[in-house]
Amino acid sequence: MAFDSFAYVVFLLAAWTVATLLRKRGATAALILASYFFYSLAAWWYPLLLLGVSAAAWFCGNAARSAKGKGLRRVASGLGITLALAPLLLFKYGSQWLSIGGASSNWQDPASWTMPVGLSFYALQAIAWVVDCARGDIPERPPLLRFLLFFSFFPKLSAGPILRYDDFFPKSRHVRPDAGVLWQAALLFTHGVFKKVVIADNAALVANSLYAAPETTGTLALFGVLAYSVQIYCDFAGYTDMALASGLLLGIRLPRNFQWPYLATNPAEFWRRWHITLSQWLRDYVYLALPGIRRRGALPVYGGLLLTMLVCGLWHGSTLPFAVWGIYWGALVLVYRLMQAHLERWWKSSPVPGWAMTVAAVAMMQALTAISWVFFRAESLSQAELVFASLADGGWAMPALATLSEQQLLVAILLAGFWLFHWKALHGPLLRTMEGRPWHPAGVAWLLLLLSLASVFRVPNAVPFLYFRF
Amino acid sequence: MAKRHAPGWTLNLALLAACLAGVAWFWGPAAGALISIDSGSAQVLFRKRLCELHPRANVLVFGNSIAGEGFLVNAFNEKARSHFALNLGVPSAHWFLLERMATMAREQGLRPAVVVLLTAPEHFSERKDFDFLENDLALAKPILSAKDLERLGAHVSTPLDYVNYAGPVLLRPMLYSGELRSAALSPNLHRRQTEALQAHLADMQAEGPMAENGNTFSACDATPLATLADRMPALRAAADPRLGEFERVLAGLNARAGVPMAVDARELRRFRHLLLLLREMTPKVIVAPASYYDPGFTQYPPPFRREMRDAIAAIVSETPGTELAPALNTDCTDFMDTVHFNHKGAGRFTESILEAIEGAGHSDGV
Repeated sequence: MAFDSFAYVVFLLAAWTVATLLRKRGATAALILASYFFYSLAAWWYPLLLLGVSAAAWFCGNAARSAKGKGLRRVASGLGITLALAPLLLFKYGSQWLSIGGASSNWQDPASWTMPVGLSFYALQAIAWVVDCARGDIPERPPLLRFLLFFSFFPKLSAGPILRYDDFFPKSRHVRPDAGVLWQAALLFTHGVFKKVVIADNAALVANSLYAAPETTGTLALFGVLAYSVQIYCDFAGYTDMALASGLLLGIRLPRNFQWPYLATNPAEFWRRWHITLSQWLRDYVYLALPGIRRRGALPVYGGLLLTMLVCGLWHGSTLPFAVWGIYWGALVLVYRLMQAHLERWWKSSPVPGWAMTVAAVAMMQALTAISWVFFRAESLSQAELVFASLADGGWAMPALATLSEQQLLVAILLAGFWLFHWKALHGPLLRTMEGRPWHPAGVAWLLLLLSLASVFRVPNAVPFLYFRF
Repeated sequence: MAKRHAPGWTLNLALLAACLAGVAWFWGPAAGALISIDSGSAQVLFRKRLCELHPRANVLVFGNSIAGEGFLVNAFNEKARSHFALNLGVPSAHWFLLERMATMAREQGLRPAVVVLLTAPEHFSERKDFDFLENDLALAKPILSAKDLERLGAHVSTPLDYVNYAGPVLLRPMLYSGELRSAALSPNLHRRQTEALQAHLADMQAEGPMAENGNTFSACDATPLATLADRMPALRAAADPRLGEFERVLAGLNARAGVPMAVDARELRRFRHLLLLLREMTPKVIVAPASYYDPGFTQYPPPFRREMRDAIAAIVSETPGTELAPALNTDCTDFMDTVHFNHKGAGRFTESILEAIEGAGHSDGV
């Protein structure tokens, strides 16, 4: 069930009503049931998989916490990590391994290897839980109901944010009707709907036409590449806004996943702003877990950066373009780390005004990020190569406004509006006013305007959320 | 404190009232003001007008574009001894719209003696990449009423599904997104096209011929279909006068070839439901499974064809008052692309329907 559907809104309000009427344990149990029901709508057997991964994490995590010796703790946590990773690896890479191994054609049928929605996210959560238990970061065994809700909570089940147990429960509260919370949730949810339905889905049409026929003029290729940059952000951030709004309504404040990522001035900052919970997970459970990292030797640190970003790429998909995407980002972060001190000195001593330097750095990061999305979006390296070839030597004539289709014109306007809204002087006061004055008529009019635009500019038969397939 | 909050809530109530008024407008005069001659819904309005102009028509033909192109209504009416037909086929119509066109005809006072239902293979196979019901609702918007909230029940599988489709029916602006987008981005052009539709509807007369397929292009000229895509650059370079026809053949082929097709139980349930409904409005229903030109089995694989044919035959045989149209042997000379009849094929099909309705005696052809 997609978040931007009428059915989801009805489902969410029903879950909220039940959680409001019940006391705390009853509300927790009701939310678990609602979450399993929600997951079963995608496929009847998904809840069994979720229950299996949760059970393995519960037993292995608790065993690791209570283990007497270091060896036993390692065995328990190793088993927990293996059991969490096994279904992920099987579904994500299994068909490819079997095809390499010459297994029967039935096993190679991609339809029979559809990746269960959300598995990539809750498998990482299971690993975090087991490791945190083994490290002693979760000293007490939590109540089982709380643990099950932590694992299955439906607003974050399909595509995150990726949570640590400590992030989840201290921020939970009893659900009760509250005009301020309702307003915050409505505002966030509407922003999410607008990002997904209006911006992402329309930008997708332009981006898809580029990747369907990548041999085109430089201008159209650039338009398609920029459209995908905006699509991927608004698609995922829109989903996350709706997830956070749902969590807020149900008494659980989920962590932010995005912090204006396209305002980053360097690659390291980009990853502190983009898919924040994945970046933190990779830092805590991959990068810092690598041998030699804590001693801060140059080789382990730089090798670790590259390896971590490669894992990031492969987590998104098992194809070569994803691996190249990961290595590309690893190289960018690595080069930045090597040059960081020089760049900062140069930045301070430069006669160019600071704001101009920031604008230039943001623009450069935009270009580098847009290049990375070509690998991310392309189905093969040869397709990515065609897009780059069009960018490099296609025609650069600016098309006349009259020659643009209605769809291209709309996307051009949306992209311009998207970049303009990044200007802090514009979005800062607007968002502060909206958030600080619940149910003020100006805010209500803003919500109605966004919802009206969503009904006008929605795309029939639009693509589902992009991150569902990861 | 109460005083300070009062203006806010008054304004909020005013906003709510404005929204309700906006939605009410979409339930009322929006169709006339927004639907343009380019809109898919214009096809529904044309058919509705036909029903108003010909209340005594006693043969109604329903289907999607295959019916629209495949039945020569003027030729039928010229030859028929005691029947007068209307072609109510709407491009891309699926089960809900087919049902809605039938109920619309009944609401207009038509009491047909025979209904011809042309079914396409796409009617029997669910597609994950295209939501036919959503498309039907958008096309049917000018004739939707509150009763459609009840009709929807027969076309959805779960209550949550129902909520998803009933939402746009209640909040009409969502069904007008194509028209609203066009009005917002090209207001002058959209206004001209809306006026063109209104003028066309006003100009339609009971006398005179109705629109029908006059395309004489033969799909044989595009064969072999397997190499058509490779031959297109040369055809474009040579500026072949039939380029548009080749483009249409290729576009249709690309849209259908390789799409997984499987007879779906839910679609069969909807088919059965429609047949029962048609039987309530007429004593005789003729089901005509569409012919197609697919020599390479790239569009419709043999197991799917077999299963679909058997399922249709079984449902027709168990529904009293319904019968299958006589099978037609066709080849590439009968088609203008891989699924639509050209003028020749449409003539043959129309003749076969005429014979099925009035019996033999029309051997001179339509």
